[in-house]
Amino acid sequence: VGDLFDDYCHPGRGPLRNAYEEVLEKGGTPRADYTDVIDALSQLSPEDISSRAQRLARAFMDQGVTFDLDGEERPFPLDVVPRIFSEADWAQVERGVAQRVQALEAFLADVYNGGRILADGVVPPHVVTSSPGFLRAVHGVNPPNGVRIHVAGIDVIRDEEGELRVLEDNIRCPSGVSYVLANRGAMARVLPEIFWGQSIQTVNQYPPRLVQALRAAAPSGVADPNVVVLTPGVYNSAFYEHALLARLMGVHLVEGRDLVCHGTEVFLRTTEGEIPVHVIYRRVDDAYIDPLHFLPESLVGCAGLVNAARAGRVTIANAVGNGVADDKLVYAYVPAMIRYYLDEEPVLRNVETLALEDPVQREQAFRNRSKLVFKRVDGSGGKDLLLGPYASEEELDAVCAAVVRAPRQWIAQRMIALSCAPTWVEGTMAPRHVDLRPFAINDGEGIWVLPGGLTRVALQEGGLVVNSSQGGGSKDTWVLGGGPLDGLGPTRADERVIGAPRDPGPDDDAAPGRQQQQQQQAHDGVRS
Amino acid sequence: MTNALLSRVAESIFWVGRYVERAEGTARILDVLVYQALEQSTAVGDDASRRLLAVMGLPPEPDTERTLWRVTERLTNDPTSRSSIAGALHAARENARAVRHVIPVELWEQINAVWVGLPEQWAMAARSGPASYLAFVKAQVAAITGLADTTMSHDHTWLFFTLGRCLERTDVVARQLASLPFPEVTEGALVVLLRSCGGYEPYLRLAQGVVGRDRILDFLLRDRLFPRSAFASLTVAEECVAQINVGRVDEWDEARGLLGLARAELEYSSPATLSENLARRLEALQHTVSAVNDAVLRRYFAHDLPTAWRRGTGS
Repeated sequence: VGDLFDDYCHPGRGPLRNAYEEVLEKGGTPRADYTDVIDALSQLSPEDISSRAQRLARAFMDQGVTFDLDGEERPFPLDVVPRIFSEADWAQVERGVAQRVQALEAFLADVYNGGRILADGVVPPHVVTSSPGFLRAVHGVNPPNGVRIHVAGIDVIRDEEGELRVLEDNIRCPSGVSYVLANRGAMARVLPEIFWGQSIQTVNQYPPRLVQALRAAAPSGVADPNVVVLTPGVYNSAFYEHALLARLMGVHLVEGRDLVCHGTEVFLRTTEGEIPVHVIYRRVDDAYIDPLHFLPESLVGCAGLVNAARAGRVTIANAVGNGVADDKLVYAYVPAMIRYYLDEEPVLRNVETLALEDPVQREQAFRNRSKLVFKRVDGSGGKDLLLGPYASEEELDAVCAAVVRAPRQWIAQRMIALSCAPTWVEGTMAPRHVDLRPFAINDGEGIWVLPGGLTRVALQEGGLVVNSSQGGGSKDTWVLGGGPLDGLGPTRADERVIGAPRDPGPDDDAAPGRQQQQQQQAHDGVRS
Repeated sequence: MTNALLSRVAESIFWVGRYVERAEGTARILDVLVYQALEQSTAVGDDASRRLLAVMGLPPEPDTERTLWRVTERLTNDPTSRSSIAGALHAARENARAVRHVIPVELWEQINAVWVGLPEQWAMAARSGPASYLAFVKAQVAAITGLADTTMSHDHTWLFFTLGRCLERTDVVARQLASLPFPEVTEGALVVLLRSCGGYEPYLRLAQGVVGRDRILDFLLRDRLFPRSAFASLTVAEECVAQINVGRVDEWDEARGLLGLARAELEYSSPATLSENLARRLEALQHTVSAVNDAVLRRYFAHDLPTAWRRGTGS
């Protein structure tokens, strides 16, 4: 390893000193999967790395790969050091994520059709009924192919021991997959040397897989379903992603005002009149999707969608009402769900979680408040979250008071020092904490996990919140090995040059054996 | 003032069209194939490089030297080969220089500026990969063709330029298709092909995201609206020849006849038969391009030697 990593040292301070180091072992040797990449990066000078980092940012600005922060478009910072998963580690992520999605599907189907699991006492009924994500409006609405979680983003972290665990489930509208696609493209173009000699599984399969899953979810009897992506609009922070997915799936990107319901049929307003819509991949929250059932003031949804879905005339993906299963209190019960529905042990463990509505656990949490993380059950994006070890006494008092006011709204978790990885920050390699959001697609036949996922980095020193709205960045995430290498199969077996050589130019012939003549002609040209 | 154009001028402008299109086509193919190979695995770099050479009509490298980078270099920066980007752009520039008096000054300057800018781009590519080089070529060629379309009269000069572009385009599509092992070809390979023609997204919108072999073949060979399909290119080429020949409608025009037959063959074949005898069909298509090229040459550019290239030193 060259100088680049010489000054790199593991964070040795405070509550994060035990964090697992992803890339370098103690003593600074790279882990086996990283050897080639670290070697290749070490060939570059710090100035080179800085200029490549700038080009990555520039590439994102040029492509408009941005997210919206307080009304300003910013590139999502992409780090020069990739995150690498061995085939074995990834196999565990894959199995764990698929298992979890399967259990959550079963749970959703159950709670919206009577709730066997509640009657059996595995999940307390009030946990479900008091969840803000539990929507009575969709009780008994059963999607055509049984799928409610078409796309899942299950956040996975590595704890101090290097064990992969699930931090939270996102099964409403998980975002970030566009960065997975954009990161790979930008990295290969800006840092081709680190790809050399690697065997990396492609991420390009995501859009075709998604469109195939969405088509499979169409109402029965529709041979050629019309799929659309529903976006809140160009000012949404993830608009880039909505546009990218629509483009790569070849479907319309629509806003609520482009849709209209007549009875239980949904139509798209076009220059050719109204055309029927069968599957809506919506990136609009439940509360806004249908002003008839939910927030009446919503301008980004379309009145009548829920009724159309109930009538089985349109499929909403992900299904309305999924929020009950990614409620952070319900999270605590997911391992139990896996055992209950699938009769399996969880492949990926949860993070230890205290349910603060329970007086005993609440007391326990309050006693250890400076060691725990407090989270609101419906919070996301790193908001409504307090890291005990970094909080002042006043902040802790305030959060405890909030917990006492609404205990159902809060959970507390052991603060895990997320694993860290070398990250290029201000001209030097420094350890930064990372997580991982793998994306899974359920097409009703099986659950497919995109090999890669989004590794997010907390760019502030010692930061644990990796969300893009909190100054986070990302890393290209590689899954090594295997997989059919599509698109580059051999040429025709005979390997001969195809057809006649192209028409040469007036004095040119690229055919073999003619070079001498060409050179001769060049001479003639100069002499004449 | 007649439409008459010096044969030499017409020939040069025709070749400017062919060469800039060739440079763009090569840049597009490389941009997709090289990075596809890189993003996945270099174990397939070998296959990718072999296919690149086949598409470009170049003989295979000896096994020991057949690396993706070497092939990339050969197809970008080999000024002795008109199949490389630098070679094609150099040829375009030399042809344009000889006729700079008949093309708009902006167009000439654009063509010249690309050539002048290439070494700098290559130096950057040598340091950090060909992405920026290929992006530069694509953008600059688009500027060239855009200027030709918007600042030239659509007179005979423009018609020969456009005819050259369309012939080259047809040839590129036919060659790329011919490089694939039909009917065993994978969908992935077809997606790569669509992307390298810039046709991936238009295709997806047309097919609602469904990737199907026959449908892609249909799209690339005879979509009416996608400008890089063989049908669309042939149609424009045919229109160019017809306009060049306007007023002489009674005469047999070989180029037009060949283009019309090839176009009609695509247009009136049933979708089911399109993939039958594909190899023969593609070979016929390439043959048509060559034959049209020769017919145009005989009819309009007839002279003993290709004078556009025999430039003196000014003495």
